[in-house]
Amino acid sequence: MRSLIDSRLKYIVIPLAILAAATLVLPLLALVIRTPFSSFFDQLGQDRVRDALRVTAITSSVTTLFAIVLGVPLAAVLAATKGPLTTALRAIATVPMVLPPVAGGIALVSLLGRRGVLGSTLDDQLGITLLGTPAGVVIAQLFVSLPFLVVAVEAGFHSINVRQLDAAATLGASPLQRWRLVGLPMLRPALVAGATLTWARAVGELGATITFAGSLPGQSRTVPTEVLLLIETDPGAANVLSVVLLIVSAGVLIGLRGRWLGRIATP
Amino acid sequence: MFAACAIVVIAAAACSSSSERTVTVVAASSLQSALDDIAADWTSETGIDVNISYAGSQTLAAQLRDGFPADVAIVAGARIVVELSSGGSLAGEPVEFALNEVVLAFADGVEPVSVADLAGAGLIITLADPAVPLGDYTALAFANAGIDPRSIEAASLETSAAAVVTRLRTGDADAAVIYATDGAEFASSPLGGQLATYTAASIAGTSDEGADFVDYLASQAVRDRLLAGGFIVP
Repeated sequence: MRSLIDSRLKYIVIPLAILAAATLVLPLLALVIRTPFSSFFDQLGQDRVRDALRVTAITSSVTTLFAIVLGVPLAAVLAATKGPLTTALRAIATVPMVLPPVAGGIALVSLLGRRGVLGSTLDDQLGITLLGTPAGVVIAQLFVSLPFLVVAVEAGFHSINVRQLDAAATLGASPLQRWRLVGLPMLRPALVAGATLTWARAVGELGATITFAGSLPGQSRTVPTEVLLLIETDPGAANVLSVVLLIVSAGVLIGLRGRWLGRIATP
Repeated sequence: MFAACAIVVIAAAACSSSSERTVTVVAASSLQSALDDIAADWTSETGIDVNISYAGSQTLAAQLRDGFPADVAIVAGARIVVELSSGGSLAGEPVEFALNEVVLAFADGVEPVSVADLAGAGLIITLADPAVPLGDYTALAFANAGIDPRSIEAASLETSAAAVVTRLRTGDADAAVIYATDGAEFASSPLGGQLATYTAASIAGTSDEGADFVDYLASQAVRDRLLAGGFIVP
């Protein structure tokens, strides 16, 4: 590592590295400094804040569940196949990671809005509209967070030792047994990491959610939306909720470092 | 952060050297239709450029509280102006220079109903959240019309006036309470005669040109522009 930064270069590299770190750390530090910790729990106890916390906890958990059920098969297909179709599918599956979430929200309105490509049929035939519903929030969160699960789990599938699966087959294990006893344990670190990142991304989702699912208290108003509204009327509470989101994000990364990065990245 | 500041400082220096005099304005999004023209008029009259940053009320509040380098603030509603004024951040008196009607509007293809029938009409309704100025005015408007705002079941309480209009445009809502100038294309009816107020103020410690621009907003030329844009003048 030391030879990577040669003795003359370090006078340029190290100051720039410090600037980079400051760019990331100082805003978060300022956020914490400006947060009224004396009233931290009072702020969290406000009815509207509790509603938002509840909506976010439920929707992000359901989103993560759907992401696992749908994302693992997609990751398996991506890992098991080759060719231009697979490459294209992989690219499409990761687009929401870089697409501005608001654009994702507009795309969802175009598809599932009440006059959308599919949404108009949903409304006419079944009377289902998604504006202001937790289901709408889950769909918005799933759109932006599913790629995190797919990417992590596909990497997990690639790291599976296929010969061990074959060996299990030779020993007479059924396809289900092979996966339950041999495949899944090997996949678990990637699955846990993917699911955790997916959940954290869903918790922080704002742009696609307000664009597609709106903001109905107790139904589709999540913590990030509540933060946006509180900035205007109650900046202290907005800071407190932002710190909660920060704690969730930091907690996820610290948890993953121990569980996933620690196990895979270091030999 | 430092890096970003350095970039901003360099950019600001570059900007200020290209044009000697510029007034920077932060303004409510719902004024854009008239304010762009007003600013262009003033620039051709005085030779001073006007740089307007439009935003929703949360962004405006955060920017103004945190000392965003603006000369003039133009906002809807009184809340943030009162806060800034009592904090000593304003130079001179705020000027109420424009009004906007708050109306009940209906999406294309929706049969308009009277305000009294709104609650039972089975329409999908969106309103602005009471935390934003339009939401404040919406609650007042329903009360003026003799309707308990809580009796109106909204599918969503949006975070900006712009978001409320978008619901009508996409057809995700049948009815919504909006600023009249935001949705001239929709069938609408007045709501309790409620008017929203736009206030302009120059920020303490900034250029004299900012105060000049605020003064200009009370002129007849500006009143004509506002009226042509569907606003009401005091």
